[in-house]
Parts: sequence; C-alpha cells; structure tokens
Amino acid sequence: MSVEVQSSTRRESGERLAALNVLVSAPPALSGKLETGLTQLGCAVATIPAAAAPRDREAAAATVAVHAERLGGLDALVHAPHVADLAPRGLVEIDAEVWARWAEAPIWEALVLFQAAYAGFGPAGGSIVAALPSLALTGAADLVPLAAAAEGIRQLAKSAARAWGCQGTRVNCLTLPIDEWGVQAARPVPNRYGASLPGVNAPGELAGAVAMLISPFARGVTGATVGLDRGTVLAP
Amino acid sequence: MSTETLEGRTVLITGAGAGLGRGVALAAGRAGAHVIVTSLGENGRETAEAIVAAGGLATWIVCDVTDRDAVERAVAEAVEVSGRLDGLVHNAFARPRFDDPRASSVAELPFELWQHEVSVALRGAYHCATAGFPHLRDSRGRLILLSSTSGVEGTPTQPAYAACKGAIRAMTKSLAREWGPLGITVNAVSPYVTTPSFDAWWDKNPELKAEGEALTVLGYIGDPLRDAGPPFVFLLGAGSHYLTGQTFFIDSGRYLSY
Repeated sequence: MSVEVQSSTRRESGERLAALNVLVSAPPALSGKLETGLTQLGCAVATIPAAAAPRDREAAAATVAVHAERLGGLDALVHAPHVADLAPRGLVEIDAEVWARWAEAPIWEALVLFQAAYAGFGPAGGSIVAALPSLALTGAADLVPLAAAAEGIRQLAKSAARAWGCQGTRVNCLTLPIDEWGVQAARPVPNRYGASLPGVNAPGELAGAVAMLISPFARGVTGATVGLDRGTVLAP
Repeated sequence: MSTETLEGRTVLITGAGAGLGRGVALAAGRAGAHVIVTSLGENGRETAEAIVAAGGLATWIVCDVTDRDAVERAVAEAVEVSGRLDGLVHNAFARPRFDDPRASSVAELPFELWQHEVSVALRGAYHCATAGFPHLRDSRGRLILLSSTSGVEGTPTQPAYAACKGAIRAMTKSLAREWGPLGITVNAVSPYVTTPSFDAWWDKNPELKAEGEALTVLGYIGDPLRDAGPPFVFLLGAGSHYLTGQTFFIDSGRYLSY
C-alpha cells in the first residue's frame, strides 16, 4: 500500500508512505508486530532490539545514527517503553531499585531516544510516536510504576511536541492494551463497557495508526493521544 | 478559612519550610492538626514556630525526601510524637535550575538535571507513599501528591518537571485503586499560587506576572495560605472520604481543559 498526498510543497507533494524510514524501539512482541505492519505498508523499518535499547544520551545518539545511516535517513521513531521483568506488584512490595528501573528509567530512556531522533531527523524534521499502555490513563492497581512511566513519557512527548513543532518535528502518542506488553493486570480496571471493538490489534492495525500519525496527512497533529485499545478507555 | 476541622489528626507535609508547603502547614495547624513540618533546611523551624505561636501543635523534622531512610525516620518520628499519621502531603520539589539552560531544553536535558528533578518529585513520592503506607492504612488516611498543569499538557521549557508531574498523576490514580479497598484515599493537587521561586522570577520579569494573572479566570494568583490552604485542609479532613484518584486544580481557574 502507498499513500498519495496531493499538496504543493516539496515534502508533501507526491509523497508516499513507502518513502518513510522508521526506527522502532519496543518490547519484542510489539516490535515484531510494528515491523511487520509498517513493512507491509511500504515503510523501510529498522528495529532496535529490546536488549540493546540505549540507556544514555551518547548510546542513543550512536544507535540512532547507525540505523539512520542504514535506512538512508530517518523520518520517524516509534517508541514503546520496555521493562524486562515487569510484573504486577503492590507498591509497598517493590524496593527503590525496582521502582527506579520500572518507573523512572523508562521515562529517561524515552527522552534520550526522542533527543537522538530529533537530532537525527533531516532539516524538514520528522515524527515521533510514543506507544503507551492505555491503563495509565485510568490508573491500575499493582502496576503503579508502569502507569507512572507511561504518563511521564506522555507528558514528555507533549513537551517535545511544544518545543520541536516549530522545527517541523511532531510528537504524538498511541495508547494500547496492556496485553501488548505481555503483562496482565492483576486487578483489571473495572470498565462498564469493556472493549468497543472485538479482537486484538493486528500488525496492520497497529501500523495503520502509526502510519496515520507519521504521514503527511497528520502534519497538523502534534501532542495528541490516539487510543488504539479497541475503544476501551475513552478518556479525553 | 476552612470550616473543616483536623482536630485529633496528624498530618506530615514535606517541603513545608516555604511557599505552598508552608501555607498548607499553617492552614492545617489552624484547623487543629498536629502538623509534622518537614524541610530540607532551617526554614521548617520557622513554619513550626509560627503554627505553635498561633496556638497550634507542630513538630519540625529535617528531611531530605530523596533519602529513603530519612523519610522513614521522619514518618516514624511523627508517629512517635503524635501516635498516628492521618495525612501525608508530598509537596517538596527540586529547586529550579534557572542557572543552566539545558534544564529548560527538551533536546539537551542531561542526566544530572533529569535526576535533580526526579529524585525529589518522583522518587520522593515513592519514598513518602511507601513509608507512610502502614500508618495511613491504620488511620484510613489521606495521601496527597503534587502535580501540575505541566503534567497534563506538557511544557516546552521544563521537560523533567512535566514528566514527573505526569507520572505523579498516574501514580495517584493507580495508588487510589490499589489502596482504596484499605480505606486510604490518594489525590493529586495542581496548584497555582505565589511562592518564593515565583516571586524571585517575577521580580526579574514583572511582565510575566501580568501574563500569569491573565491566564486565570479569577484574575489573580493566589496565596498559599489564604487560597490553597482551605482546599488542602478539606482534602486532609474527614469530609473528603469519598474523593480519591482525582487531580484538583487549585489555580484560580487557570486550567479548564481537564
């Protein structure tokens, strides 16, 4: 599939989604779905393995530079926080080291990737999508660190959207079911209606939402949060 | 002032040596609480003395909220001197680093400035919540965390602050769910009041105060004691038992998009 956009500027004129070079950084299962779906849509996709996710500014800059060179330039970054040993636990059951690893580190790691991508985009800017668990919007018992990390990243994304918009870089968020992280909420958030759409997100559905946000069709959209949890959390 | 009484209750307030924390502490003292004033510096002593001078009950404890042991000691001392803990307000925040332009740059923010903010706001919230938990469970008490409009709509010039305040809102909602069955309520407050930091900033940039006031519906930026004190006292009191997981914008109507 390719997407034709009729517009007058060089960047928008005749631009195809097939021309977009996308770097994905996400937990393994989600990363695989994004890579499959985005490739099917015609994007060139590079993936940062979860085990190799950069932890500091220098490593992030180097990682993004390598992938950007391999792709022949970078148009978009899709990032979902990855916490290797995440499991539902009460807050008082986790120590400070776990809190730091589950709640604080994912926000910092998102920031360094955002910074590296921003520096690695071309002069016309690029697009960043943060994929986050939708339960952070409503809160979730026994997943306090993950919820905190996700909302921290979302506010970071909004801050980056405000800071970088004038340079042509857009930053948006997608909210996904917690299942995409391979975690089940120990105490599911009560929801009177449940999911509005049946089924689970297929690779094409995930990639389609990402493509919508990174494509020139959404050039007026930044700092936004789009729910891709099959209509479960309908918070603003 | 608030009609809510905090008689017989003990509330611990971090960062209560100045600004909002001092205002909340004074208001809680006037409402009858035994106020545990914690501060990093000596100014907490002045807050405690002001409460006592007004006929209230206060205990000052030096506490660095980035230090888990220090927070646990402060909570233990609060329980030792008063026999209970009914409310905990984590108000302390990192002193803004106006001296380093990288602090206000999303693109350039380095780890040390990130940690400067996170260690007080977010790690401090974790320390306060976990240290206060057993006593708040016993009293079916109140945990109040401080958020901000920056934690709802982002800010281009304070990325670490925005991230921390967003994280704290999610922490508030999640802990409200986790601890609600135990009778503990957890809420966040997003304040917009004058503070020493704001005052210093406005002294250098008086036009910004006018801009800040113009953002409000009521036309002024409130005082920590007079304007923020009463709603805090309400949230700490018995009358707020049905409210949890919420973010309260005590801000002169500055933010209405929630």
